[in-house]
Amino acid sequence: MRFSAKLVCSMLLVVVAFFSLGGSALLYGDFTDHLSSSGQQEQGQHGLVCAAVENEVLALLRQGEAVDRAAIQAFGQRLGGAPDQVRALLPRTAEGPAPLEQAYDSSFPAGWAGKLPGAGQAVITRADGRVWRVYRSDLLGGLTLYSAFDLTEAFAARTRSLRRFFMLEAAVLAAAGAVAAALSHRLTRPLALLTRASSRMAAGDYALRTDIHTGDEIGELSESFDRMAAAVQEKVAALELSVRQREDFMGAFTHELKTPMTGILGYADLLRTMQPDPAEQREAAGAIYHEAKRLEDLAGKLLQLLHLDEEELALGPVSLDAAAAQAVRSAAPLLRQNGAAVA
Amino acid sequence: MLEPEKEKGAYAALNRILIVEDEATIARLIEVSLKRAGYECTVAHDGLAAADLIEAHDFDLALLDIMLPGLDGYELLDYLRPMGTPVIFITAKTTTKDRVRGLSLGADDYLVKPFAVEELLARVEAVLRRTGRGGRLLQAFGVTLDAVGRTVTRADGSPVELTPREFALLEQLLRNRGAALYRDVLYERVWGAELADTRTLDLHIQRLRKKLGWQDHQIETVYRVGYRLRKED
Repeated sequence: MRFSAKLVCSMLLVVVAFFSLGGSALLYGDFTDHLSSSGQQEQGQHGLVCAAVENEVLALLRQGEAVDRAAIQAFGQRLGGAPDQVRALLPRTAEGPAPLEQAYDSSFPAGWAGKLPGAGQAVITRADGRVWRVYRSDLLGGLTLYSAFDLTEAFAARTRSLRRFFMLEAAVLAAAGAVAAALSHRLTRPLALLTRASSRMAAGDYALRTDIHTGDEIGELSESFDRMAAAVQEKVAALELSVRQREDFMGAFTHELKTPMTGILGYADLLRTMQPDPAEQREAAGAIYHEAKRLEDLAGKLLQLLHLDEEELALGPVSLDAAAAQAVRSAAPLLRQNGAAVA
Repeated sequence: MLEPEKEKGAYAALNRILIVEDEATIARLIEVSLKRAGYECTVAHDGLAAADLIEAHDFDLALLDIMLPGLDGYELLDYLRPMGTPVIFITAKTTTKDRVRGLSLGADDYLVKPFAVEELLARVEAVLRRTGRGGRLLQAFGVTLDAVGRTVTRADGSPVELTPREFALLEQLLRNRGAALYRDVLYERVWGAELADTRTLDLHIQRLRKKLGWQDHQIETVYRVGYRLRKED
């Protein structure tokens, strides 16, 4: 995987992780708060109904009337209902409250299959396609009151919130991804430059420099790379020079070798082919001798050159007059030829 | 000192050759060899002297060294080209590049040092032949040898029938007129192999003498050396 992609993935991972955690925590906290605040209201209302029921029971008992289905039903009707609320008043025996179907007064939906709480407790349950919180209080007169509050809306609201959150997260991810990609591309671009410079150098172009001044590790790498490139270039130039010098030397040497060889071979061939007269013979022999001497000199010089760096050069004072006079002597013919007056 | 005499009528045309070479030894060697083969030679040791000579005389061929003081061989070539004088470069510059350069500048041939004198002579002859400046006829004692047509004719015009070896042998003798040639060299040049025994060579010489009617020591036997074609008395 490319480095810039790795950078992007890392950044996105961090964003997703913390965004999700944070968001979830937030949403959960909000929902719990909401539930508990509505819970308080529900309890209040449930409490009110409890009190009303107990008042009625007390009133009935004071009047000497029975606490029976008819009385409770009548009471229930008087009490009325509220939207999103249902209640049920049931007789209670020693084993517990009667099943819901036998309630004196109930506005619970028919066939209610949800859970019912224990005494003085509340439970959140699903029934009849909706979400309820059910409270139960055991009251005077052998009655039990169940109050169920419809929380479906709250839960639906929570689901909507979650959905909105996910969409937000998706958008954040996309935006963060784009920005991260752009940033990481910017940051890793010098690396591409370094790679290109390296392959150019490998191909033989030592003149390229990367020149990256980002003030960070990549900048340092670039600087170090450029120094290396300069060193390589110098070295290669020096080697090429050395090779060229060697070739030049070999060429010159061969030429110096060939000339005497031609003379020697030519005259020797002459002597080999025919019997010359004495004058010819002397000339030929003389030429061979002189050319061979030249070769000997050449060999001597070559040996000296080869050993030049091995020996210590002894520097000694030289008379400038003598050196100049010798130079003039050697060059005299050439100088005269070119019209200079030579003393 | 070393000049072979110029015999009248010894050669059909005496070619003038300019030798430009700064190494005195080599220049002398070439001069001697060419004069022996019957050419007239002029030597110059540097480019400027050569240029003066070119201006003053007409030459049939120029042998130029390339590395010269003054004008170099290439510049001299420019000088010679408008005159139509054929040029052979003689030089130590052996690389293909140099040879191509020399030839494409207009040289007729290119000889590399060190060279065998024999090769030099052969190339000189080839160039002269090619540029129409010498149908090389070699003559001696009334006999004419045409090196190109490979014929030998007597003074009266009648042809002499010679085998290829006899022809080659006569040619060698003519080309080295006046020099005592060693037997093994003669044999090598004509038969292309090392001399095993002298009988073949001697026999051929005998036959030549007979066919040419040279019974008066025109071809001299040189004691312990070989044979020499005498110069015209």
